[in-house]
Amino acid sequence: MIYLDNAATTWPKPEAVYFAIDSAMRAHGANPGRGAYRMSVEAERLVDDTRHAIARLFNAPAPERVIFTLNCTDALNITLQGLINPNGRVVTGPFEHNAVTRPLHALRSTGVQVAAAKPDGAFGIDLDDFRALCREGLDFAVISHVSNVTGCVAPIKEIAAITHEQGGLLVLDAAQSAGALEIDMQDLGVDVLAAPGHKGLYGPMGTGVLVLAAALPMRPFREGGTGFQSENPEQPTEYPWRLEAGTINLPGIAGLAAGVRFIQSVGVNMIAEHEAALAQLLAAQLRQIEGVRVFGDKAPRTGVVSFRLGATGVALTGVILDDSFGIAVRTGLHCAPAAHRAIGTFPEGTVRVSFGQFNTAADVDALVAASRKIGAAPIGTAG
Amino acid sequence: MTHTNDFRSDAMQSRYARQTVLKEIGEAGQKKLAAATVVIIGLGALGTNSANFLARAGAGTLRLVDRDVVDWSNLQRQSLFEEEDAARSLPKAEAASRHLKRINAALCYEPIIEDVNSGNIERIVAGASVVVDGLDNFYARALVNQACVKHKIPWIYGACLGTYGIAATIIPGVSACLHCLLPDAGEATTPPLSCETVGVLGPAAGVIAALQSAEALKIMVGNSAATSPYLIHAGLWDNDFSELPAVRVSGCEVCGQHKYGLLESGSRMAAASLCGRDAVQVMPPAAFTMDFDLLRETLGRIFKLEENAYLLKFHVNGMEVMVFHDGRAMIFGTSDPQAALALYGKYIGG
Repeated sequence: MIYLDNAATTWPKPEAVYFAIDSAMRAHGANPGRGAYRMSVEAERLVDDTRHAIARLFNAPAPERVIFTLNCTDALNITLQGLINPNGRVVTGPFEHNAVTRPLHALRSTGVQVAAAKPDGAFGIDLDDFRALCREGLDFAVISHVSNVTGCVAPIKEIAAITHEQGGLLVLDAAQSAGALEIDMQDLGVDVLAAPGHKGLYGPMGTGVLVLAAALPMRPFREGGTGFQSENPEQPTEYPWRLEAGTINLPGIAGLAAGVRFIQSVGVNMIAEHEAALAQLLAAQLRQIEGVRVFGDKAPRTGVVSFRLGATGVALTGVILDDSFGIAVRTGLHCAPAAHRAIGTFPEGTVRVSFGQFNTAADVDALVAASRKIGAAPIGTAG
Repeated sequence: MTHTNDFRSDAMQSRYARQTVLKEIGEAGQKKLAAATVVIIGLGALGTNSANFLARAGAGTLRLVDRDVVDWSNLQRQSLFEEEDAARSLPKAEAASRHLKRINAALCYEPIIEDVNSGNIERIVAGASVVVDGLDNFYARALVNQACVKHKIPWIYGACLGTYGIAATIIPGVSACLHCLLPDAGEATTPPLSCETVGVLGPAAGVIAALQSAEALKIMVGNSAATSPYLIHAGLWDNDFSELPAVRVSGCEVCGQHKYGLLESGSRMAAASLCGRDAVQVMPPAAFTMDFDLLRETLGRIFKLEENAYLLKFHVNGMEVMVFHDGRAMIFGTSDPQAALALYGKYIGG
């Protein structure tokens, strides 16, 4: 099986990740930060080490403001709901995932204003429109770093500058970029970063992180046990406990730590180069097939390529690739209907290929050969 | 559930006169019938015929279960339904209850418009005096078997296909259960042996439903001992009527070891609507063995097929269906996973 759906979750994981999860459960199976005995303290040390590793990876100023979450969606919900003021205003982009648009849609009903900048017609965000929307006032902007549909990279440094000019904070949805592109929060000007643990960071599903540049007065998303200040009826205001309550996912965090060590040993730049090279190879070869349309940069900068195969519907293309060629790709809207509207592929969506560190040029060749064959056997244009 | 079936009223006396005069039933039996609950699962030819018999006989509560709507192709053999039901695509459970109420208004009817699955089957059979099988697939029957054995509810297996039918009475702990008789019943097969692909003779279903109804009456009047210990086979076209031994298997996983694996698992078939499309993908389990040639031959008899190297395509009820080599199907023209599963079970594999 050729796995080309790394934008959904990376697979396989590095061997060290499987091992770390197993040994965390066997050797450090105590509840971290909940006891003074050695096993609990060792478990807490593992968690703390991982906070440091994540902070270093994103050049975040304070490891205690690395919050462990269930996934990127969880991190975004905690942020959007914890940061918004009553009757506040949020500016967002044209390529946002439902992890952003659905929480914002729900906030609208509470009086929050949401404005989305237009696309620029070439798979990017219209920065003039974004600036104009920010000038009308904002609490914060929330922008996806890399579109999960086209793989195009948003100019975060400029976006951060515009946002800050208008007195807003920048929340970065790093679902597709964390681990796949170098991210320096301080250099880019990112105030809050939300990232999944199971995609570019190569950890297991059920892990994610929320990283805060400053000690923002965010409202807790959930309250509960923290293992200290137990006499206090209120959630502690100190980070990370302000936003972390209840027993955390220790085996998952151990796996995430191993994933982060893996990408640091390879080098995030090397990973980015490898994935972009495969995407460029694929995009170039697909464009040579008659009737194929590729949606994205001429020379992709990340590992995502979206396309349509002539008259063969996208869902049908995906099923045939799986059933007859053993190639796993994602088809449809990729939970990002706004992005598909922006690039004119709504409602059918696209066939999306997304590479990971373990894919090779042979995978590209197999996909291109399969696409040629499918395109040459026209039937069932429905899907 | 309580109801007010006053069997002693004059009208009721005359209604059931030919039945209470039977020494096998009598006044006492009629009283037991009035207090009984029969669950009829599946309202096709078997289920509607049984419902008709049992409502007329005065079974106090009839729980009628079917997720489907009445279709024109049902009218050839499904006795309760009328043209208007098909024209209006009424849910079978609702239409059957409505017609039965006009036949016997004093009874309590509980229509349930649901697909039978591991999550609801125990609730569906709860409180039943007897369950009558009107199903069209063996996976659902295997579910009914596990639920009935687990809760010690007698059930009457019945199946009909082509010109023949079979019936057997399953009394948990006493007679052979479905797993004793057909241990592979819960496994998916393709192509399905279904009325849609093979056809069915209306009177064959009538005979089986009559047998099932008589067995259900015996149980409801408290005379389980009178039920048949055989698997009854009725071949109406080749005049082959026979009784086959229904032998209880010692150590049977279900009725001997009380293992109810199907009740504790999710659905075998995975159905997911495809985002952005009015379409559902149905994916059978990995263990599913697909005989693509046989499927092509079977479907080719009833549909105009199109095919290429990757798929087989046909149209039914305004839906476009594509079947792939590993057994999965894409069904365009619906976004309802249950509707897609029902279609899959009838034509592709169940």
